[in-house]
Amino acid sequence: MPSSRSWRYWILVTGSTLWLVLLLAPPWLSSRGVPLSDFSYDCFASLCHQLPERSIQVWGNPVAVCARCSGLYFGFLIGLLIFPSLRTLSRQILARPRLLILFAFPMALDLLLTNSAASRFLSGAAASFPVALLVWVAIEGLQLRPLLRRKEV
Amino acid sequence: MNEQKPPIVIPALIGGVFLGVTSALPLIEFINCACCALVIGGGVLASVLYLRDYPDYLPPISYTDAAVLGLLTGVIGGFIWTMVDLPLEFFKMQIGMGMMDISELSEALDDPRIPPALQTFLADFIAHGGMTPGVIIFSFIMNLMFSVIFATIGAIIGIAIFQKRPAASVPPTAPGPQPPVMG
Repeated sequence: MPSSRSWRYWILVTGSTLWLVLLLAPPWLSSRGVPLSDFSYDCFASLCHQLPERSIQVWGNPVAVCARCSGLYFGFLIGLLIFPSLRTLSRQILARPRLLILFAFPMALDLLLTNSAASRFLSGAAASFPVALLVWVAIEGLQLRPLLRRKEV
Repeated sequence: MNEQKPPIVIPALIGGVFLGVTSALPLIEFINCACCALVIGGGVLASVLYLRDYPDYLPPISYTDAAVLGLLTGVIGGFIWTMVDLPLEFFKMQIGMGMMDISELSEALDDPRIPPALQTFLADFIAHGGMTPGVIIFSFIMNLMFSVIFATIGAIIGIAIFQKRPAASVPPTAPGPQPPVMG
């Protein structure tokens, strides 16, 4: 298991937090009546359908992505923050990575059944939660030194 | 025994072309509305193709290798996405079907709250039918950012699900002189 104190871990946490903050920027700009705030929504248009009725409302405006996507990003950040404390679960997921499918099952079920904003958000969060561990493990393995040494030569 | 890993360039190229072209094509691009499915799919496709050529006698592919594969897929995909998307978006804006409505922007030109510098930019944008260097660079940066992030995640998910053996937590290192690392 990687160490949660490494700089790579904190870059990942900071990046995920910034991503969530960026998603909140369009509703905040809209609520302040900033000109061309629609443009900030357009920046995320290629990622999500952005249907207001399927999005969480913040400051009286929809978040830049739908409730399910918001859940996916939120779950990822939560995963990053709590996996360092969940050693047993981390080991189990790393030993049987296909458990990812199990975590995504509620989201698949939610797509088929009648759903609500809360169910979309929570099932999305559950699906991305274990992915955070794998991304963290991947980032921890990056060896930057050989690349730097090669540059010096 | 040849212990060299198969090159990642070919799977990354195929995955990148897939994600770039499908993300830019009209109507098909809307599949990305489902949590960036096409971009994640490009990463998964690259990882599946890499796994297909990966010999069993080598240690399992690590998530770090998967991330590098996804990163390369995302970079290639981001380029292709922009190259295919810009001419299509230009055409769609001409017929009023683009993501940004020219008439809305024209109205914004008269808005006194918009700073003069931004008004000049918008006037230039409208005059060139949405194809200013600034817009091209901005589109490229956005496409590259999205495709790199989601293709990397897609490749990691692909290795996690489709690799028969659990992935090594860190890239395996063999003693002695190292073969050129991937690609």
